[in-house]
Amino acid sequence: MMLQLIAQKEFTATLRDRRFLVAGALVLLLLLVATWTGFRNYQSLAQKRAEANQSARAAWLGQPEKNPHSAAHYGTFAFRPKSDLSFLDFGLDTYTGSSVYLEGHRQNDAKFSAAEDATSLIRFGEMTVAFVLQLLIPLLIIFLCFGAFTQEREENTLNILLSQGASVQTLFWGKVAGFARVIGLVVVPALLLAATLLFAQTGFQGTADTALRLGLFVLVYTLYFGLFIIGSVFVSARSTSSRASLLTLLGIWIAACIALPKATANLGESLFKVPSSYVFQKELHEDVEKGIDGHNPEDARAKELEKRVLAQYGVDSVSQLPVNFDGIVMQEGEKYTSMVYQKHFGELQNQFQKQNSLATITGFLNPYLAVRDLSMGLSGSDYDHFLDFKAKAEAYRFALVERLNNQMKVFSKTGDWEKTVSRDFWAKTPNFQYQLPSVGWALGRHWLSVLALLLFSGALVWGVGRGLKDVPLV
Amino acid sequence: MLNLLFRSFIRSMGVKIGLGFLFLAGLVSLLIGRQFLDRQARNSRDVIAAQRVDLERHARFHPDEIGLVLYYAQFALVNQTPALAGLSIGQRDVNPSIQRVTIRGLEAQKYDADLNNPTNLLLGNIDFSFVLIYLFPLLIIAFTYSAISEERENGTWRMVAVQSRNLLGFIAQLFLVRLAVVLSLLLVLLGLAVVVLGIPLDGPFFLFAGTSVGYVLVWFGLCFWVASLHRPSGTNAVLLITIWLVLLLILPAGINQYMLSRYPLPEALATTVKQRKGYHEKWDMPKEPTVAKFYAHYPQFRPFGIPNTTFNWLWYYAMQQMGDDESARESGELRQKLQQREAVSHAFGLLIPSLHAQLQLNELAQSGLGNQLRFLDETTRFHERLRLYFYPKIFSNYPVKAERWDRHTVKTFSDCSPIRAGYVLLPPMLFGLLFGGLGWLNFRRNLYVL
Repeated sequence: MMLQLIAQKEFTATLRDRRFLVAGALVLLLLLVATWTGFRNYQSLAQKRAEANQSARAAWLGQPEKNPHSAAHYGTFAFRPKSDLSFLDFGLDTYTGSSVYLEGHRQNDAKFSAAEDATSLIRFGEMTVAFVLQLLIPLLIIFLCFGAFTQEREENTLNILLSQGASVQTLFWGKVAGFARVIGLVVVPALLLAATLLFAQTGFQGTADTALRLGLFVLVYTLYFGLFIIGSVFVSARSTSSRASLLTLLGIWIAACIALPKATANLGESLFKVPSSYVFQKELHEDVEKGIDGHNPEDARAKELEKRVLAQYGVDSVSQLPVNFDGIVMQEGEKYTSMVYQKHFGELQNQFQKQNSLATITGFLNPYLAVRDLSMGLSGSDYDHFLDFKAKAEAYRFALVERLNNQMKVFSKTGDWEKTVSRDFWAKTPNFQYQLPSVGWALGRHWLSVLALLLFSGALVWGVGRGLKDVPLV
Repeated sequence: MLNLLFRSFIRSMGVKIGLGFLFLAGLVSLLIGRQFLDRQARNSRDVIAAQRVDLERHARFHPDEIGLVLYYAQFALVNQTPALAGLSIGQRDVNPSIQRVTIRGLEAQKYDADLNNPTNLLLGNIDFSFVLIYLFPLLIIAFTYSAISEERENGTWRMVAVQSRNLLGFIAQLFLVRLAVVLSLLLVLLGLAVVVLGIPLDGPFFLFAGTSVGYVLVWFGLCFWVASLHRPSGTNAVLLITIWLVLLLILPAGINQYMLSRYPLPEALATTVKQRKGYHEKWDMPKEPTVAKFYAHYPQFRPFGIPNTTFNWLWYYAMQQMGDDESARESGELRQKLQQREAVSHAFGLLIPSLHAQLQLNELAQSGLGNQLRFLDETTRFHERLRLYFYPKIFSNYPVKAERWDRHTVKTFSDCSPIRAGYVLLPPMLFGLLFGGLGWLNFRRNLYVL
């Protein structure tokens, strides 16, 4: 009862404050603009990628009659579709390649990230919903809450309130509840817009997965704002003056949201080193040539294969084989190089994951990092989703090349590079269709951040409970 | 008086902590810069050492066919990293500083990215430019937001006003002391940078230092102006932090968003798709028209005639050439759009000091988009020179052994685009003067409003 009264008082008082109205309206406006432009941006990108996928498919289907292996060299492209929620948080999408060129004999890295085509401006950050939610709303919360207790103390109203029978605890949680309502007023309209846009896009037939992702997204940010409100009011309760409270909170904000994330990135980079692009390529080629263990060189592998195939068909020279030996050789080679590529890219990605894990661990102390991680994960714009796309594109490439090599093997004799397949062969190869993994998969990848956020929340509430026992009254 | 003001300012614990923290952040940024420069140097060392070995190996493996050697042989062009880039890493971590190309189609090779962790790219570096552009203003705000308002709030301002013969001079001294302290810190860090990163004391460095000082002056101007509004300390703090927020987070992000939608770039992709088509479909076409088109581009090679064997290197490289030729329009459009983006950002920079500082520091450190575009242009020229050198040798099947492969060393691109000192230094000076002047006028008008 008392708690609600205090909450109501804070809510009304804030709404009467012109300064807050201006700041709150500005943040709301930014949030709405970010939602709208993010959505437009997403739509145009999604459309472009879908068109590019179609034109890549059309180019594949439009091939004339040709040798299957020639088609493997012609190759095709896989374009990464934008996930539905990525308009809320662009995440890494700006910095990861948007397409992979799929061809025989080699795995290509994803190319064409938006960051390569951007001016230095992009490093200031992007105006996305996540940017506003992660950085600006906390700042708004700080401005809203820094005087929660100190002002009462400076105006000598704290004594009066407490002498009326309100406990410090009630006062504290009442204020928190009041401020939470204010922040809700700023955030909810934007989230409603986002949800409407999202579901209007799919003709209000969005999948349960998308809805669940959005729901969790909202939940994570609700918790995040809650932490900031509780923390800010607490700092105010423990500070000697409004000024000290404001300075402390701003210091925390700058350290947690601006400086520390960069520091973890730089630290991760120097702890877990990766080879230069040149050395990476060189080691890869050496493994293909000399064998993955260094004792199984390419020509020895070829000889061994020849012996095996000849024995299998019971003939004693390649020319007597009923199938095209070149097709078999190429498929075996493909298998081997794929293994080598998998090993090297796997090692590289492991190293990157280790660098990233530093940020995840720091998330236990810095909820900003945990929220950022979860937000990207739920939006499908994190590193794991990118790797998932790459893995699926690679699986598609391997199946495609295998199909071409097998065709080569069965439809012609060894040494015949001229025989062609008819045009309808191209349509028989399946199209590349990327399916976003489920929300459960995404959470599984980010369970550490979930844990970090929950633990931090628990610790904060516990710490606040203890810290409120001896709050100075004057 | 100045001496006393200085002593009373520096005695505060908060001031010492602030200075210490920023000094530490500055040191960390220098170490990160050192690490970055070392990595760059190691990468180019690797490539330089390897090119010779690799070329000899290709020549040994394919002793009879120079066309085949050049199918494999890669030639590197290094975008020289000036020591200043350690202070402002800019886009150098996104864009590779080394291009390794074969003489085959260029468009497919031009946009190869480096091995980068996208998460780290998103978070960015704590380089010196970050410390300067984000953190220095915060220190300046912390030092000045209550310089005068606090005296009013403590009731000491009346005494100062009554006892001072030259109140305006006193206010100026109050700010000058703080300015001197902040500038000393900046210069100490820059001095250390010269030592740690081995920066030559040349024109770009002094302009870099000048831009940094100019940026600090802009913030002092802003703080001076806010102080002249005679608001309470709390309001000053909120106002200044809001300005910081707008200049460093909201405006840059908003403008970036605007540019992305105003100058969209489908062309990067279109170029590769077109290039691939231009090259590959030639395999299934008769040779004559392809070679004829090739001769239309390079009439000097006409004497080599039209090949009549099933496979021929002239035909092969003509097909590769067609990939580039047929995607030339898309490639040009892409380049033009990128240049537009760069130009528009610079134009915005003239109005927004934070953008101007970042763009100019990157430009001076040769780590911005401008440098990258010039490097790509040089890569194109480098590739063309290689082609013109090797084409006749391939077409006449020049003996592989006769070629002096060791002469094909790694080439370096040094960006020598002219620097306009006025363009770099004037905008921040004008901003500093504008706000400083506005503050001065305000103070003169309301000097004795106590």
